[in-house]
Parts: sequence; C-alpha cells; structure tokens
Amino acid sequence: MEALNLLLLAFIVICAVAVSVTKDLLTSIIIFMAQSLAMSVVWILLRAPDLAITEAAVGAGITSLLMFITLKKLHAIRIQGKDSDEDE
Amino acid sequence: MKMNDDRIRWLADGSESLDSEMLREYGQPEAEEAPDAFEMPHPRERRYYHLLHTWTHRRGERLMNRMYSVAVVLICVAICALLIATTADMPRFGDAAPLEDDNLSEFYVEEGYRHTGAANIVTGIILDFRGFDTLGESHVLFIALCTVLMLLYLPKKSDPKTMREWLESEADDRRFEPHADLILQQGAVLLVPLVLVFGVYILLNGHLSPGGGFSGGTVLGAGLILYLLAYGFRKTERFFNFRTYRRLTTSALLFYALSKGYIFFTGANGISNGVGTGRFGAILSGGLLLPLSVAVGLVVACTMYVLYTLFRKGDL
Amino acid sequence: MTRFILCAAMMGVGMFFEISAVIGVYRFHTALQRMHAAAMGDTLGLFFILLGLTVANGLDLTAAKFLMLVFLLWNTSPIASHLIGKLEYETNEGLEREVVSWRR
Repeated sequence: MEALNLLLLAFIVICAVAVSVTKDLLTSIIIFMAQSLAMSVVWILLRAPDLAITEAAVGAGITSLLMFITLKKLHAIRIQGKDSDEDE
Repeated sequence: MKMNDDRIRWLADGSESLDSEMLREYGQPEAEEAPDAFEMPHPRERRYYHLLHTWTHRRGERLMNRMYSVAVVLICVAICALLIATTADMPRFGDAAPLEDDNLSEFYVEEGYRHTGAANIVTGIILDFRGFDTLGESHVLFIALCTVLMLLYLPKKSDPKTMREWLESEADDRRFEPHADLILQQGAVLLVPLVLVFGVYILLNGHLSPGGGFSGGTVLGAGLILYLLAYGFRKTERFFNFRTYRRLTTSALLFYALSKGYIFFTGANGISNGVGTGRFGAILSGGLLLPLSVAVGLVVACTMYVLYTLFRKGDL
Repeated sequence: MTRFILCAAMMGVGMFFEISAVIGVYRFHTALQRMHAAAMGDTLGLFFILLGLTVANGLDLTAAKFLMLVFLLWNTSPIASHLIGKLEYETNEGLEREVVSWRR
C-alpha cells in the first residue's frame, strides 16, 4: 500500500511538472486530467471519499471540459494537416 | 465573405436562439462602411511620434524585458520566502503535540455527531460548525458565474453585422460536434437517469455517507451536460432557461444565507437552529443539514451547467 | 484453490488486454487504430479484471457493484470510442490514405 501511495504521489508530481513544461495546450490539459484522476485515488487512499468524488467529477470532468471548449473558442486546437484560421 | 448556408442551418437546428427567421434577418450582408479618412498630424507631432517610436523599439523594449525578468524573480523570491516562513511556523509533519493542547478537533470528532446529528462528520463540520465557510464557497461560485456571464453572455438583439459574424464563426466552431448522434442518444437514454439518480443519492445522503452538496451537485451538473450533449439545446431550453437558473440559485443562496448567516455574529456554536437533530442515522436527521446540502447542490449543479452553456453558446 | 486459480487466470487475461491496449496506444500510428486499442483495454480488459475480482470475492453486494461497473463501462466506453471515431472520420482529410481498405 505504501508503494502504491508513493507511486501515485510521484505520478502526481511528474504530471504537475509536465503540465507546465508541455508546449501543446491540448496535451497539457490531458495531463492535467490524468493528474486529477491520480489525485482522486490518493484521496480515497487517505480515507477522504468525499473529496475523491468531487475531485473526480470536477477535476477530471468539468474543469477539463471547460478548458477544451475554451481552447476550441480560441482556435488553439488545430485540425491535422490544415490551418484552422483559413477558410477551406 | 460568403455565407455557408448548410453550416448555419446545421447550427440553427441545435438551438432555438439561432432560428431560421433570425438567420434570414441577420443573414443579409451589409454594405461595408468606408473607413474614416486618416488625419495627418502636424510635422512637429510626427517628429515626436517618430522619436517615441524609435525609442520604444530600440531601448524601451529591452528595458521592459529586463524589468520584467527582475520583477518576476523578485515576486517569486518573495512568495517563496513567505511560504517558507509560513511552513516554518507550522508544527512538524505528523507531530501530534499541538493537537493535544487544542481540544477543538477532539471535540469535533467526539461530540460532533451529538451537536449536528450527522453520521458523516465531514458534512457535519462543513455545513454546521463551518457553515459560513461553505456559505462563502457557494457565493464564490455564484460570483464566478456572474463574471463569466458578463464576459460571455451574448445578447440576442445586438446589431446584425456582429450577429452574422458570430453566427459564422460559431458554425465553424461547432461543425464537428456530435449533433443528434443516434448512438449517443441511445446511450444517454440509459445513462442520464442513472447519473442523475446517483447525484441525487449523493446529495440527499450527504449527512450519512460520503458526499454532500458539492459532490452531488457536480454529478448532477455532469448529468445535465451529458443530456445537453446528446439532445441539443432545444430540448434543454424547455426545462432550463435563464429564469430557472436565476430562481433556483437565488432562492438556494437566500435560504442558506438566512439559515446560516447569523453565524457571522454569534460564532459557530451560537444559537441552535430550532430544528431537532432527529434519530441518529435516519435520512431525516441532522436538522438543517439536509436542506442546506440540497441548496449547495442546486447552486453547484446550476453553476456547472450554466458555465458549460455559456462557454459553448454564450446563452442559456 | 480452484477459485484462486480461476481468479488469477481471469486477472491474467485482463492484464494481457490492458497491457496490449497500452502498447497499442503507443505503437499505432493513426487515431483510429489507437482508439481501437484503447477501447479494447476499456471493455475486455476491465471486464476480465472485474470478473476475476468477482470470483475472488464471491457473490454478494460487492459482486453486484462489480457487475454494475461492467455494465456502466460497456455502455460508456464504446460510445466515447464511437464519438472519437466519428470526429476523426469527419475531420481527417487524409483518412483514405491512412486506412487500408480491402474492398473498393
């Protein structure tokens, strides 16, 4: 159990660093989602299921959903092989 | 600029505010207005502008960059120092000594259920002893939503030209979204009731088992968003429009503020609320905890859903 | 003992599917192939793992929860894969070149 805890914590730290290092915004949002999921597992291991439910629903679900929509509004997600700014 | 009618029609299909009549109204391109003639400044002014321009490009930018780096380093060092000083003040990790003098946490754990009537002590603390904390949190959500509303709300009767441009860009944005996807709809038939029932269960059972207002509210909001994704705006507008949101949120927040606002003046253990705690472990126990968590859940669910629709469409 | 062997076999099969899903997500080149690999892990892999857990646990309320999880996963994961695939089909213009089709 200790090893799992340490593994998850290391994963969270690595993800947190990777979010700020990654250049691609889409990738960093997905890493952020993964970090939130690992965090919710850590909450369960720390016997805080209240927080785990909220973290899973807010962190991995709704926050990243809102960020995805924002990216799309800003035209930051580029469609493969063509510029999204141009009208085909 | 050529209008892509198919795309616009596709978009209009999904939401009532972009009806075909409105499209006909806004769809006609207007004549471009001639830009204002540029007024040539006086030669002395021009020289001044030129000097300013060259200075900005040669020196100013570099100066600004340097100041930026210095300021960034200074701010980072200041925050680091502040955090380290705060951490140095805190008790050592895992040290139980400071807790022995402080009998508040002991009191919460041992006597909490007698005062609040909640089997789940977490909900008992956050909604009863620390009720003002949660009151502030729900108001923070409300204020955040007000800000987003100010930024993103798109009034329907703006001038035709901007409306047309917005329609075009929106159609371009939402071209690839799932639109009336049959498989998603069939899945949603099964999943949305499950998710909503689970959310209501978390909400109502918050004082007995893990859960409560925030978690139940987010699950409810996620279920609503799934419904919206599957069936489009036209279906959701029938039961959830701006008036619904306003009524639900204001009444929930008002109820909360009225039942817990006195805490600001009396302290957490001040006046009992006059509602009995009931039989320990029953669903209708815990005094005001159940209605309070329902209020918080309503605020959170509405906020999640409205945030999503505002980001996606600029309207409810 | 039989129960342990059965459980271990189930978990092993599930682990095999999960690991192949992870390898597939990293090794495949196009989005559709990756989606296929990930969907395998979500459905078959987790199904076998949860089945193994049910065998280890015996039939009671926890087993019912496991089966509920299987039910939910088998409903949500294919829908998500379907949506991703549809998006890829609609947005990717070079799809014809990427996908080898045997019948024209």
